[in-house]
Amino acid sequence: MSEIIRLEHIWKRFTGVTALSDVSVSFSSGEVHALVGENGAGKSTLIKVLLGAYQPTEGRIFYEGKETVIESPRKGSELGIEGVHQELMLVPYLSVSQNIFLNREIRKGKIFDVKEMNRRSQELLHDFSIDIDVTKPVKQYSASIWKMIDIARVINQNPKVIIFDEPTAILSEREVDSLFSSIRRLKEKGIAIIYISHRLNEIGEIADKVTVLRDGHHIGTLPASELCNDDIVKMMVGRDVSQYYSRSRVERGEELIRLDSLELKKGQHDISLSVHKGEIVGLAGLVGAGRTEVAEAILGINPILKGSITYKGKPFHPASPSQSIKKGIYLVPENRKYQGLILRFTVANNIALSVFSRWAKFFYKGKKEATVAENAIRKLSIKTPSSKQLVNNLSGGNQQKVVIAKALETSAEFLIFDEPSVGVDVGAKEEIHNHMDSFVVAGGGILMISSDLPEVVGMCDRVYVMYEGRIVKELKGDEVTDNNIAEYMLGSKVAEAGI
Amino acid sequence: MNKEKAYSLFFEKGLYRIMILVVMCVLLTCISDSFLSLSNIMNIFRQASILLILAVGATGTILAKGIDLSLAGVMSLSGCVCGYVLNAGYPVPVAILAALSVGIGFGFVNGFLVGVVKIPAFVSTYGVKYIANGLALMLMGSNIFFGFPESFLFLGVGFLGPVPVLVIWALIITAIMYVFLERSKFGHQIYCVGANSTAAFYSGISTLRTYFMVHVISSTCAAIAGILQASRMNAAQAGMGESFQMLAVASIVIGGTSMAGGEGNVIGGILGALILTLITNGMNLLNISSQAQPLVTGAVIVLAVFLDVQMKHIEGKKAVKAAIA
Ligand SMILES: Nc1ncnc2c1ncn2[C@@H]1O[C@H](COP(=O)(O)OP(=O)(O)OP(=O)(O)O)[C@@H](O)[C@H]1O
Ligand SMILES: [Mg+2]
Repeated sequence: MSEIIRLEHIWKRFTGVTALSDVSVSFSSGEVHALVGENGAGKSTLIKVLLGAYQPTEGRIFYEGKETVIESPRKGSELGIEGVHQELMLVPYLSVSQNIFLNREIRKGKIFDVKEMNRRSQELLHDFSIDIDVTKPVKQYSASIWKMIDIARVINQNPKVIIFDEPTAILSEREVDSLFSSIRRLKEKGIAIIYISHRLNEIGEIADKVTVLRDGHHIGTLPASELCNDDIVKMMVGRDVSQYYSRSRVERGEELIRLDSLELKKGQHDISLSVHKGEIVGLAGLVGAGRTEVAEAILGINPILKGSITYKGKPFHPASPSQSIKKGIYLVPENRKYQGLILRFTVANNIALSVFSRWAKFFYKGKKEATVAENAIRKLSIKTPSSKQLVNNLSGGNQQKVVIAKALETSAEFLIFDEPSVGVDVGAKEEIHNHMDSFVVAGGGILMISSDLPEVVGMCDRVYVMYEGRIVKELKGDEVTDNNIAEYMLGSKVAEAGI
Repeated sequence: MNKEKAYSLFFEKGLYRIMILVVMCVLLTCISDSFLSLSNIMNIFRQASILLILAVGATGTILAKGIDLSLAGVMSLSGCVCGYVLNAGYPVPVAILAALSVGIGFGFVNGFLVGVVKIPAFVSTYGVKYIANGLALMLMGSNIFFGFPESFLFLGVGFLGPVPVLVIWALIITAIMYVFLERSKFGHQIYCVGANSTAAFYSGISTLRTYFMVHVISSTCAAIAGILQASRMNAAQAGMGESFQMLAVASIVIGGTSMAGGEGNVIGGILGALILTLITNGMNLLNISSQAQPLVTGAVIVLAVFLDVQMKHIEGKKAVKAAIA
């Protein structure tokens, strides 16, 4: 296995933050090299240096043996280095195939060969068992499909190095499997893979080598076979972290919300579920099963065609998020960059986004916003130089914490979390789960959508499983196991039981 | 004050626009004797007033990532309705109310098209402009109404002490808009919707109400501008607001309010309006022919926006350097 990129003594400083200090590491062709570390450890910064999006403050990069300055992403791309970014990078209004072939359009003479591009896009996505209409704008697809489209786009460019920054954070098991088999194929073709993930189990499964970063420092690089999860966590955090889920015992309270045979759009019907006070209820299912649509219907974002909702014993007709929020219903959306945050605004602005309007009849309370934000930053240990930092400058996991902080500020009674721990590190995940736990202890109810099965099993009292737009099973108590959920989610039990 | 703060004030807060203004004044003082005369200064302020009212009124639409291309049409129609009602012999307050209702009504139409029907503001307000213009033409034909009552003319040409009443109107409206956009929660909502309407919507900000709000404000200010223009000219005719459309938008943009939404402020718009007025005033003083004036104005608008982009660029580069240092 030959070395393809070597970093020597790389430093990267931003105002007030040193994101990388003296990092030296090398990556080889035909190898999957995992990069792990806490939120804000410098992983994304490191790969942005490799992709040419950031210039290192100091240090040298050698590419195929020659010292190289990767002055721009374009240069990186020319060298054959491509990345699937942590954030969703597609153009919402362009079609799936236009996104996949953006700047790389296939031409027939002078004009674009749209048919061919559509065909190829379909093929690429089919490799991941995703069959969608590639001529539709990506805007209408869910976050995980965006991710798969982005991955297809990168693979289509035949690079020599592919960097995945937390590709699986919003994918469900099935997509993860197809991603992994495709990574193995790429590896066999001699492509160097750099892989960032907070899901340590994946690292053991796919990685050959592991590099650990902590606070911008290179802690070590070791063969994956010599490491177990606990070692990695210890290297990352510098202390032991419990990787177990802990829930307080809570008496199940009265019913908070009940959906009765909702019908949403075509093919999504028979959606009935309930959440009681003091409960965390899971909504499991594959990507495309319609989980997010249910959440958005409760908020009044998507229309409800048939059926009824009862909230706190009274009929409830969702009209818009602003009205649902007034009633104490809040959604933590799955796509933080598009739906959750105003990236150009400060951390304080964002934390207060859902509540500043309540503070006064007319005036905007900037001071109050700052105090509230500072408390939230402390409470969730958000890593930022100040509450005035732009959210755009935070690391991905810390952005996710801002989204959670924003939700907790609303003093809602019913929270829906759509992929709550996307991209947060083990320590932070534990913190977010503790906040969810105290929320239900205090009498709230939670509906949690998550593609992370251990999270669902560990956190939920009950789980509803969705399959192709319907809720096909409610699992209670001991029935809530990985296996059970997976079987209903994939539809195997569904056919058997003839549901 | 430390260096960093001064730097941020100068570039980020756009203080350099004041410098441009000062430099222009100094230049004009040197070139023309009559520039610094009291009568000319008052003249500049009076000329700037109507533009200012239009600009601060429409700032919200641009902050919300839209635009109001109907304001000149609404201004004309309101001015004409006002003149028409006055000529029909009704008292002044009735005429003003009629004109204001036209403005508010058109604001709702714009808000409806942008917020409910979801037609991009660029297209919908452009269409509405023609509707307003058309109605004004149907009302007036090619007539000019004039000879309005004294009490009405006072609004546009009167003085309170040494200060023109027109300037007072402009100051009041600017102050209201400043407080509304930059100190109130509604203003902050407008910024949020402009910067990321999806996130604002999911966070419980009513985007629909925001679109109605910015358009009603913009059209109402356009109606006020129409009333004052009719009073100032002692005349109303179908095309009376036309020349203000692009000047108003240009004032806002020169003032640093970004067409990308969610970024900008009222003070910048004031400076933009003053800069544009000074250019016209200067050209008059220098006896530049009125045929050549649009060319100069156009060139200056392009230059100003270019400068702004450059300043932002330098700012960005300095930030990068600071980060590296
Ligand atoms: N453009 C920027 N301006 C200022 N600070 C930045 C910028 N980009 C990153 N940082 C800071 O650098 C540090 C490292 O961030 P980075 O995004 O590399 O973390 P990460 O390891 O990818 O974390 P995560 O797991 O949360 O994605 C963070 O403290 C972050 O706030
Ligand atoms: Mg990251």
